[in-house]
Parts: sequence; structure tokens; C-alpha cells
Amino acid sequence: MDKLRNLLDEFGHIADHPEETALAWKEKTGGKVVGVGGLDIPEPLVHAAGMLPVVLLGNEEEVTLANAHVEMHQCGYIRSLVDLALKDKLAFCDELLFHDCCHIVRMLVDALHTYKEGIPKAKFAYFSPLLEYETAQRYTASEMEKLKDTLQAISGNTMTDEKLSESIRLFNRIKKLLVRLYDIRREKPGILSGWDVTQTVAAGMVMPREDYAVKLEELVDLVAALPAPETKGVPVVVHGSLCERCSRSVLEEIEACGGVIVDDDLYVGSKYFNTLYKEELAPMEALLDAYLHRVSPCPTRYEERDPGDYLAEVYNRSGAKGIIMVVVKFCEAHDYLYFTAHRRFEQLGIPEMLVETVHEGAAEGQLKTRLQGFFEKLEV
Amino acid sequence: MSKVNRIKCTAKISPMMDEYYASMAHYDCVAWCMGPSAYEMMGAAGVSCFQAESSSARIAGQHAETPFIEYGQAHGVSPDMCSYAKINLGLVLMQQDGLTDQIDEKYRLNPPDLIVAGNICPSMMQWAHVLGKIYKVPVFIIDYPFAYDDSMENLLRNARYVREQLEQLKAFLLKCSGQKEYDEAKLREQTEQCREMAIYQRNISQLAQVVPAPASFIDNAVSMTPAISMKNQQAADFYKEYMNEMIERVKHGVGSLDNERYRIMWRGNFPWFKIGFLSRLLGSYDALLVSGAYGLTGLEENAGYKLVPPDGYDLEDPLWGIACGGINGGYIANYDTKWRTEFIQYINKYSIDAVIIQAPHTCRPWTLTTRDMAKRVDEELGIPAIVLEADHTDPAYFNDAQVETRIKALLETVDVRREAKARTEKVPYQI
Ligand code: SF4
Ligand code: SF4
Repeated sequence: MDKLRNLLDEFGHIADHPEETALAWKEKTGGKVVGVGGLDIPEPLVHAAGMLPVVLLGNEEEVTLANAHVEMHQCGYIRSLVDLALKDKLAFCDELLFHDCCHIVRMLVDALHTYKEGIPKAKFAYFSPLLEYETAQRYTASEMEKLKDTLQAISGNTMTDEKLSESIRLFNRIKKLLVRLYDIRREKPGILSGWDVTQTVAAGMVMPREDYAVKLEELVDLVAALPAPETKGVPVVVHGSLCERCSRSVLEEIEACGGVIVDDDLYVGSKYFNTLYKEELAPMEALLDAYLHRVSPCPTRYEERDPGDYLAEVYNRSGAKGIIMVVVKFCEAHDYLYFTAHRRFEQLGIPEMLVETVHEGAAEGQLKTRLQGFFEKLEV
Repeated sequence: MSKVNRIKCTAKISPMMDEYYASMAHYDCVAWCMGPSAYEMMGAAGVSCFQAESSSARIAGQHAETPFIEYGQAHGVSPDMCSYAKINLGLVLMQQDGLTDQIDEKYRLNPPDLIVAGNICPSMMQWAHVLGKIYKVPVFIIDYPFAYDDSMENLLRNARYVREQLEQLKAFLLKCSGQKEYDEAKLREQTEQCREMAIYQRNISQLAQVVPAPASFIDNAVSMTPAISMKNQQAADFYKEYMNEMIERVKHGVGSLDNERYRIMWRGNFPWFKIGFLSRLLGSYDALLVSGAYGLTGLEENAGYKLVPPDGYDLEDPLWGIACGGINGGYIANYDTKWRTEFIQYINKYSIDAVIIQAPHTCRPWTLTTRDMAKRVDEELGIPAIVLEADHTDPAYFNDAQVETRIKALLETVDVRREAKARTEKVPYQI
């Protein structure tokens, strides 16, 4: 158990201090660190170019300097990201690389380098949000090729198909381990806390992926060997928290009020890993395929399917009794997804509760009462 | 204290639009559209279009928005969504919930047969998705890529991409309307009308450079709807009349204000429910809005200027002109280009004394980076600027007294700077 706790704490520390890990890697290898915005930048491309991709998640620190540039009514993620840049806390990144994750990100990140000397001008790729339109798919494919060239130019390394396939296999190994960890959590509800799971996933967005894969495997084996915990609670699925980690206080409050998180559709959670790369395809095709045929719908992309149907699937396979929708306040794309999913849940009779989070924290007292009420209703 | 001398033909807009919306009832196939949806392509496929943002702006302009916003917000619409969408969805939900009789007849909506939206902001595409699910009708999105690289080579690549999508839109429209063939002659005719309209619009925009300005930028902005929604000969005739009125005024040295003392650039969309208030307020201080990157604009500084209408319309290839217009839009421009095209040109060419930037609470494209832009206007161009945090169609985010105080302070700053400048100019040169 100590060994497991130590591993979880190590992952937690890395997730909270990405700069330490990134700088140590840089010193050891002399390679470049690329701060990546959004989950859709194909990390194997960065990895295969010999660089370290670090997904930029923002953190829960108070936003101060960014207030001069970003209104309080923009999402907490972007406010935090700009603040970190202004406080030199992204200085460990040699490059900032974003795809067009959303209109908010692209506009602010494009201006970021003008705010302070030393902040690199962000590089962009435009992956069309239209996942099902053939013309758009071709445009995205050409942007991925352009991105590959950019990454080769930045790193000075040539990326062979073989090298890229190797990176894809490594990322798939990690994804499969995380899938297994989630399977175990469904089988043994309460085996890990929601926050430990979040930090475990988040560490994988930072660490040199070879090291992460080894440690993650160790962790998964340790968790697999544990007996199912005795704790009883109301099984729930947690969805949301776009672009950032789901707030620790929200996850802990869910558990303190009698909920057990049996599955999730969180950004720093299953959204990050549940789409595997198809290794049988040519490597660039595999990356495109994963972008287009994602398992979990993203509010910023456009697909015909109803996001409520996907969440209903997660709900059904996990044996949950309800879904908690964590929506980052002022994330407009997510507001639309919520509107549609909520209507679908009503049709399907799936109990759901909305939790809105702001960067400055959720209204804790009220959250507790609402969660207790929700769980009581589910237990009846 | 100046009286605002409005362009007379603007009085025609409201009845013209009412008539246009009423005519929609006679079509078999109606597309609801958001953003740049290639409106000029619809008629040739037997489809009429209903412009959703204009409809919400019109409702707000007549101060009728609140019940719809409130109904929507009570039924899952977030207060943070674009208020155009909030009004529209509130209305839709009321009708879906059987409350049509509580809605003024002129605001009632005919359900769409299809939906077309442009991807230029965080709202349009998802708003279309939601409507598609509610009405169970097909949706077509036109994707306009973010021009992070606006080299001519990349702009042309993007235009080809959009053009290809427009070819598919043709097939989509035909499938929805059931019309057998696309009426190319009709498209060419409408393209010609749009080209004519674009010439007048460019002139209207440029004539405002004259001092005193013959028309207020508010007149310009309220006149956008026919250009966006109708795109036909009636709309072209309207802009011709507007332009001619301006020319007459210029000939006789007549300005929009009797005593134009402050020339203001406006950046952002408008609080449509307060447009009269703003116009009167500014007039009371002898201030006039004369330019801005919203409305019938000229786009001279854009890399793709020659690609856009009217120059960009090729009657042999109408889709190319539509595609080029789309990829040159400010919404998808990068930060540097926005600064050049949405500030510098509208300040330098229009003898501007001050800048007002509206940051609408529920519209990110017009809000983001406005604080930085205001600072740059002041520091780099020496012109005072304020950011008004308001909204385009949600009155919850507008405070009359605050707006008046801010505008008054802005004009006082102009006075202080003028005096300071006059003093330095009077100081005799000494060795
Ligand atoms: S949280 Fe939403 S609004 Fe914010 S950056 Fe992410 S997608 Fe955009
Ligand atoms: S007002 Fe802003 S958010 Fe709303 S549709 Fe227009 S650009 Fe989009």
C-alpha cells in the first residue's frame, strides 16, 4: 500500500510541478520542451521529433497579472494560462503549440507574446472541427502534415515513419494501461480516489513518456492486486472540466457526500486516452483517424451524434446511478453540449446534476447541500 | 448639443425587413442561417433564408427580448451563451412548449427545414447543432479556418477549401429543397446584385472619411441587415439610395451632426437595444461615430482586399467570390491583422479623436483582447480609448449611467489632449 501511495504522490507532485520534470529532462537530454494546448495536438508527432510534449493545463493558483488582459467572464483555463505565462511559469517551454482548440484559446494565445518579452509566439495548427465532412478531413490532414514539418524544423530532427510508429506504439501502451486502470476502477468502485486518478492521468501529460509507461504499469499492477474496498456509496459518472483538471475540491466533495466515481468523461481523464491509434494504418493516417474518430465527443468539435447518447453509454456500462456534469463557467461550447445532453438525459431518464466551476472555486457550501440532495434522490 | 441628422432611407429598413420575414411563410423550404452562410447561393436552389442573428437583433432593437432570454435561461440555456442565441433558443423553446400564443405574431418563427451556419465564432456552429437536434433537420456547417498564417498563399489555399465546401453546399441545398437542378443563371444574377451592393457599401464606408461626416456609423450599422439577409436587387437599391443621400450631403457640406466636434471610431458589435440612446447621448456632446470594423466596411488593409467583393466577384465563378469574402472576415483573422485592419485603418483614414470599444459580455470574438487593443490605441496612436463592457442583445449587461460617465470622461480626455497640443504648438521656438 505504501508503495502505491508513494507512486500516487509522485504522480501528484509531477502534475502539480510540470516545470521540475520538464527542466530535468531538458538538462539530461538537451532536447526541447513543447507546451501543448489542447488534447488534439498529436503528441506522438512531438515525441517522434525528439521533443517533450507537456500538455498545458493551467492550475488553481489565484489569477492576478492576467486580469489586465483577460476579463473575469472568460473561462478559468484561459485566465490561468495567461497568468502563468505572465508569471514566467511557462518559461520551461521552448515552444508553445496550439491547435484551434476553441475560438477563445486561439485569440488570446495569439496575442500572448505581445504581453511580455520572452514569451514565445505560439505556433498553430488548424484542425477543422468538422469531423465528418470529407473536405474538412482533407484540410485537417494537410494541417497535420504542415505541423509535422514545423516540428521537424523546430527540433532539427527528421521524423521517419518508423520513428513515428514507434512513438505511436508508446502512446498506445500508455493509453491501454489507463484503460485498464479505469476497468479496475469500474470493477472495484472506490479503489482510488477521483483526485488520485486525475493526478495519475495528468502526470502522463508531463513526464518523459517512456518513464511514465514503466511507472504507470507498476501502479496498475499494484491496484489490480488490491481487494475491492468495502466502502459503499452511490456510483456516479463525472463528465466535463474542459481544458483543465477537474477541481480537487469538487471531486473530494462528491466522495465526501457519499458518491463513488466509477467512471468519467473528464478532460484529464478518459477523454485523454480512450481513443487508441490504429497501428495497422500508416502513422500519419493513424493520427488523423484518432482525431476524426474520437470515442468521446468534444464540445468544441462538430459531430452529428448527440453527446447525451455517448454519456448514456458510459453511464450504462459503469453501473452508475447518476451523472455529474462539471461545466467550466464561461465555456460557451460546453454550455451548448450541456444543453443538448441535458435534454437527452431527460428523454432517457438518466439522473444528472450540473456543477459549474469558476477558477476561484465552486460555491462549496451550496455544492455540498446539492450533492447530498442528489445522492439521496439516487438512493431512493 | 447637436441634433442627429439621420440618413432618411434608413427608415425603410424596418418595413422592408418585416416584409422580407413575412415573405418567408410562402417558401416551401426555409434555411435558418447563422454567420456567413453563403446566402446568395440559397435562392438558386429554391431555398429561402432566415438570418437568426438579425432576427434576434431586431427583437432586441424593439425591446422585446427579455421574456425570451428569461424563458431560455429557465430551460437550460446558459446566461453565458451568445445573447443572439439566447433570444432565438428562448423563442424556439416557447414555441416547442406550446406557448406560441404568448408570442407577438411578428416574432413567431416558422420552423426550419434545414440549418446552415458558418464556423467563425464559438457560438454559431454549436447553436446550429442544438437547433438541428431540436427540429430534427439537417445541418450544414461552412468551415472558415483561423488565418493564423495570412500569407497570400495560405489565404488562397483557404479560399479553395471554402469553395469546395460551397460546391457541397449546393448539393445539400438541392437535396433539402427537392429542386432538381441548381439554377446557375439565378446565382449569377444574384451575384451581380451582390457585386453592385458591395460597390455601394464600400462607397458608403469611404464617404464617412469626409469632415463633417455625412452619415453616422450607427446609420451604417443599422443598415447591415439587408446586406446580410436579403442580398438581392431590393437591397442593392436601398444601398444606392443611402449612398446618394451621403453624396448629396457631401456636396452641400451637410454633416450628420450640426456641430461635429468629436469623431469616434466604434469597435465591436452594437448594443442593439440601446442604439437610440447611444446616438442621442453622443449627439448631446457633439460627438459622432464615424467608422468601425462592423457594418458596411471597406477592408482595404486586408491581405485579400482584391479578392473580396466587389473586386473579388467573378460572374463566371460566383462561388470563388463568396469563398474569398468568407476567408477575409475579421472574425477569423489573427491578432496582428485585427490590429491593422480593425483599428489602424479606421482611425487613420477617418480623422478619429477617440475610440470606443464595445466588449459584449456574451460575444467572445468582439471581447477578447479588447483591453490590449485599447492600450495600444492610446500608447501607439496617441488616441484615447475606452472599453465598454456591455452586450449586443442582453440588456442585463448595460448600465445607462455608467456608459454616460465613461463616454463623458473619454471626451474630456480628448479636450485635455487638444488643449495640451494647442499649448505646445503655441510655444515659440527657442534656441
Ligand atoms: S474551457 Fe472552454 S472556453 Fe475555455 S479554453 Fe477550453 S474550450 Fe475554450
Ligand atoms: S455575436 Fe458574437 S458570439 Fe454571437 S453569433 Fe455573433 S460573433 Fe458569434
